[in-house]
Amino acid sequence: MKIGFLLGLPDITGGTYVIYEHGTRLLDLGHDVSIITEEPVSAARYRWHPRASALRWLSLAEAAKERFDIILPTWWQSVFQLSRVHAGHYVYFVQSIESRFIKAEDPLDSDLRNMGLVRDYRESSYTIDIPVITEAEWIRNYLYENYNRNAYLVRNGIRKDLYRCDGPAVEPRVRGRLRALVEGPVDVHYKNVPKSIALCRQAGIEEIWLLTSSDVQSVDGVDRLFSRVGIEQTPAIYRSCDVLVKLSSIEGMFGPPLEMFHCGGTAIVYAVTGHDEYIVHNKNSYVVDQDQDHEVVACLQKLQQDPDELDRLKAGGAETAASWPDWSEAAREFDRALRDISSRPYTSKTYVDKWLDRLVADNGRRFQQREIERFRARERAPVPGDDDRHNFIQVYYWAEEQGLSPSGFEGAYFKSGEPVEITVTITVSGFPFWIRVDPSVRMGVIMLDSIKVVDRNSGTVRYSCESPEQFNALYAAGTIRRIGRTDRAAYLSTGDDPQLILPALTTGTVGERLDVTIRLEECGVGEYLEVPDRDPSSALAAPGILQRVKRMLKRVGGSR
Amino acid sequence: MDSWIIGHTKTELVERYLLDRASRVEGLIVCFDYFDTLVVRDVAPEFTKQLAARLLSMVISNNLPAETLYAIRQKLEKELCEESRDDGGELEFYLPAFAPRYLERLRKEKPGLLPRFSSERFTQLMLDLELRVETSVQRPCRPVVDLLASLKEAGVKTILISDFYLPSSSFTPMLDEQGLTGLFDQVFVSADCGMAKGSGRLYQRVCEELDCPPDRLLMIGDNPHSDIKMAARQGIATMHLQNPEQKKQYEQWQPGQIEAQARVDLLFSQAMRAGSECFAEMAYSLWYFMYLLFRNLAEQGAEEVFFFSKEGEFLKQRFERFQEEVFGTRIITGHYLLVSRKATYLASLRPLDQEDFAGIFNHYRDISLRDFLLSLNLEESLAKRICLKSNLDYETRFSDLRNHPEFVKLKQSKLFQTVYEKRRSQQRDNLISYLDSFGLDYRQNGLTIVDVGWKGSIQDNLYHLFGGTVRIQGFYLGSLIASNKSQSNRKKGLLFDDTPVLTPFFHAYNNNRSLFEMMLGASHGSADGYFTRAQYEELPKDHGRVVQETVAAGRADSEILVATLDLPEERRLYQEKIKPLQAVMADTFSRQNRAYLRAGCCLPRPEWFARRHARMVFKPKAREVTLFESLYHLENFGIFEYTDFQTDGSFTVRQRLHNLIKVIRSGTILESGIWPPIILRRLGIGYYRYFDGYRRHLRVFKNLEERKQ
Repeated sequence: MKIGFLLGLPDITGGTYVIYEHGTRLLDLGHDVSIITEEPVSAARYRWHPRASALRWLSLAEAAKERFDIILPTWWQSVFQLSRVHAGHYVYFVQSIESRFIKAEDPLDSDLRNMGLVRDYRESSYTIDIPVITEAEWIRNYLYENYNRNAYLVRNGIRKDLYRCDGPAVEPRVRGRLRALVEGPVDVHYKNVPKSIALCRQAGIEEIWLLTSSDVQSVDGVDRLFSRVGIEQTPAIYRSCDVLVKLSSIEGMFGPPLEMFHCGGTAIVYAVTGHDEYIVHNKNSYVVDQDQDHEVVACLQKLQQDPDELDRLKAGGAETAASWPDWSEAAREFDRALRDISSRPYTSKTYVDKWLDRLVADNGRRFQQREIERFRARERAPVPGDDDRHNFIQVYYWAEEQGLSPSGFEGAYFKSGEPVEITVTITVSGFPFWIRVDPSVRMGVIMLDSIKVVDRNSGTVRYSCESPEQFNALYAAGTIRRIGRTDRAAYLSTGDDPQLILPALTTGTVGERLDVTIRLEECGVGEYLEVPDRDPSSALAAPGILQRVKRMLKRVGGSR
Repeated sequence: MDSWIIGHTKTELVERYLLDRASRVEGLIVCFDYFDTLVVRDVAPEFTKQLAARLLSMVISNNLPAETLYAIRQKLEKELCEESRDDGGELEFYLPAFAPRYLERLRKEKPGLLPRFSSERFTQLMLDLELRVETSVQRPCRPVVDLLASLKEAGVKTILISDFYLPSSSFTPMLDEQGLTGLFDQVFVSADCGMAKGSGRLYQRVCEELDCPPDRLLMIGDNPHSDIKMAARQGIATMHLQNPEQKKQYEQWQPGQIEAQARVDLLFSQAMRAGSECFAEMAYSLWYFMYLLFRNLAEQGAEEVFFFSKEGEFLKQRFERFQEEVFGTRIITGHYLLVSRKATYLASLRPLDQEDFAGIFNHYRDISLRDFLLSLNLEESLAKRICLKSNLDYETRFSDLRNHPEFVKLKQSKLFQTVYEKRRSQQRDNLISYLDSFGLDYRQNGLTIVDVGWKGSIQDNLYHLFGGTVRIQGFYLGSLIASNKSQSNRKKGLLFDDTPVLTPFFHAYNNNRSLFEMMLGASHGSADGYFTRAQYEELPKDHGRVVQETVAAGRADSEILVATLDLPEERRLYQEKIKPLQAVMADTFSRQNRAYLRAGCCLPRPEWFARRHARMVFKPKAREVTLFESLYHLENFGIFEYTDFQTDGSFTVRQRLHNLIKVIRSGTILESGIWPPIILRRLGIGYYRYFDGYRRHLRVFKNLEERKQ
């Protein structure tokens, strides 16, 4: 069969590893297997896996020209790419419930204020009616209970040739001297790596090692650090340590504890969803309720003080390991599931397209609605809270020859409802040099007092705009329109993409650091009109503005 | 399926529905509305009229400002609509009827306006302006155009029905521009028959003309009244097209923003494609020149203008593109005149006993008789023969030849006297015949000429040809130490001029004048004389000329051969190096025309253009210096006169240092008129161009920056 996996990023992670393992083994079983990414990727990024280069690598655009027997989206966003590839069957490979990875919503933080919607959007990927394969019982249950899906369960295998008790160690274990291993990326909040290290220290563990996929040079509190090591080297690290401290608050299918069991160790984990796949408290590991940190410390101390107890748990781990399938077995199971699916009628592409269109449209509407609600709330009463992250300003910059790049910007948070002065520093990359200020990310009125561009070193003013008349030279694009004939340059922002383009700078030197200082105040329309000398008819004098504001206020249900 | 929402309803679904319907309704005709159905506009629809007013104002040289023109138009449109309604017609106006009345109104406001425009010509001008503005702001609405194409492919009959004030003769070019030509079996426009969709009468007319019942038609359009309600009332099936994205765009349309400097600059800067060729900014300087040229010509009321060869070849093409792409028509006619300083000199001279040859001797004092005779455009063999016959020294350079006994002897030579007078009168007669062949009354109206620059000596030659009786106005990219200026022999440099005072940014444009000449290279050699066929055949065989053009002379049976010098090496360089650069410039130039319209007929400030030019001359890329050097042989520059320098290209560190010190100490070396980067490279210190260019750039723009702060 011609099979394609839609992959997010090719770099080293547990989830990607699983895909490469299944992929390469399906290859061995005689299938034609492709990995499909949005953009073409260089081989250097997947070389960490010994066999990934044996797979066919395609960009989405290339894959769009072919037809597959089976396409497997492997994470939530790849489900939304389905309409771009053609296949007989579409099969969702669910490795975790990714909506759980979202940070909590915070209405006062411009970054976090829509997190609930983001969560819903991710969650909505499970509503597509296509066959599902998953790797953990709890995910299977979740999909059944919430979406009435009967997912195929294919447990991840393990490399038994690598993960074994006998073999070299980085340093041999020493009975009576507990060596703890913390595993996971240091910067992913739900992996709790810094916290795990801190708890080990608190417990007075003699030696703490860290195995991480993050590219870091040093991490505080760690005795030995293994950053981005290849899979071949990890067993030696496991074999050197006694206990794996893995305190993730969300997991799909827990890989590392199982690997640790295979290498003769035990583990301490939180009782998160999925742990019961193979981890049994007091038999092969200690399982602690989430955030019961004193218990984690107590468990660690117990293992440190009682080598016999440690041995008992290690023996339990070895027993679990012995009964777990290896990758060839897992891949055969995956192959069986795919064959079973392929014997069923094809997935309707029209259905997939329609589902996607509807979902994207619904999602757009939800975000829009949320924006209007937020606008409405502010029009009724000032926003409470003293957080400084209400709003966000972005300064894009580019040399004309190079053109605008979406990542070429500096940004800063600011508080709505009061005058603020924001300075960001940017570097000149060529002339003419363009600067675009996106002053807000919400609906409302932005009053701009000045924009100044100053050479950081010499203090030379490169551009300055300080009177409302001078703002006439700026090009207002996107969701922003100039309003009013007042003492301040005022703009109505009707969405999250207001843009003010400055006339290009033509003088200075390449490499020069520029301070772009913007003095502004962002507020609601009602607040803006409340100031006595702003007669609404003249304040909103630009053509069409009055109608627009009336419409906005109508949605709000009357002005204050 | 009675509605189609762009961005929501899939085009394939609509197509399937219509094809299905076509299979059930025999002879189904699918009718399309045009505006906001097949095409959408970048600007709010009403703004196109304001743009047209701005263009018209430019044509009439601002004698009436655009706002006044627009206000008069609005008022007149309203009156015409009401008149039409009162006469039982449509509540609409049509441009062919509107334009003559508009001209009347304008002349009432400003007597004597557009004196040479008849009512017909003005109507055509209005049609052209409107069409140009429309096409520049329109772009196809892809899904609808795709649908139209697939219906056509499937053999379904399709027609266009539009309510519009321009007739179908203007619609056809619009369809061409959008690539819609051939997709319609027929086009119905309200302006053609005075019946509109809005009243339903146009639908009746369509049915009559096609001789088909309304139930065989299906109308697709955006207007709920004229496209849907009125069509349905006639018994025509309808499909209401909605385009929420476009609606949002119209709502976001900000007329106040159109002139924002940053927007205008941005649009113009986007005219140059990324990673462009060498000296690509020249297209900006040329566009700015054309803009200024048009304004100056319009101000003078010029109708015809001569572009001097060779630079005039490319300039004339750009002048025509400028007019066609901005106004949709050529308001001022350009002619290409094959002239050169050498070809026109002899014709401009007086009889030998009255002539002082100031044109030569004021510039070159110390020359040989050979140099003198060749500059009279005599062939080498003939010149030699003249000297041999009177035993004159042909080769030696005499100091102050004008007052030298050898020169006196030459003037006494019988052969020289004969040849001089014969050739002089030939050239005079022939050049005048050549000018006459254009069929213009220049003796009465004067001559308006355009050339690259600098002193304007060809213009002077023509001026003297007519003994000062023909008024000549010359427009140049740059005018420099222009001599012979007078009321009837005017010269004006539009990008740069040194009189009465230096124009702004003079040094940026003047720094490398050869660059203009290089980039404006022509497909042929320099003009080298005007002959009748018999005279041409009589010429000594070593003349090296080719006939570039043959024009009919005044007398019925005679013709004038315009000859040029044929230099194969020059031709090859043009084909290989210059022509590709000109293609890029032409593209950038046209994109600026579009930018100009999209910017609401606003353009960046003069400084903006000067800075683009300054980049080329003060901050050239290494490959630009190489290109320039490969096209200009240094012999021509006389650099070898700097005997102090090593110039053979291989330098020791010591020599380079020596040269560097010389250059730094002597202010004049880099002021020889040759482009400094070339001199510096030849001296083995090419990198010094960064410092020198920086210094010069600063000198041009420094005061300006200080003022800004």
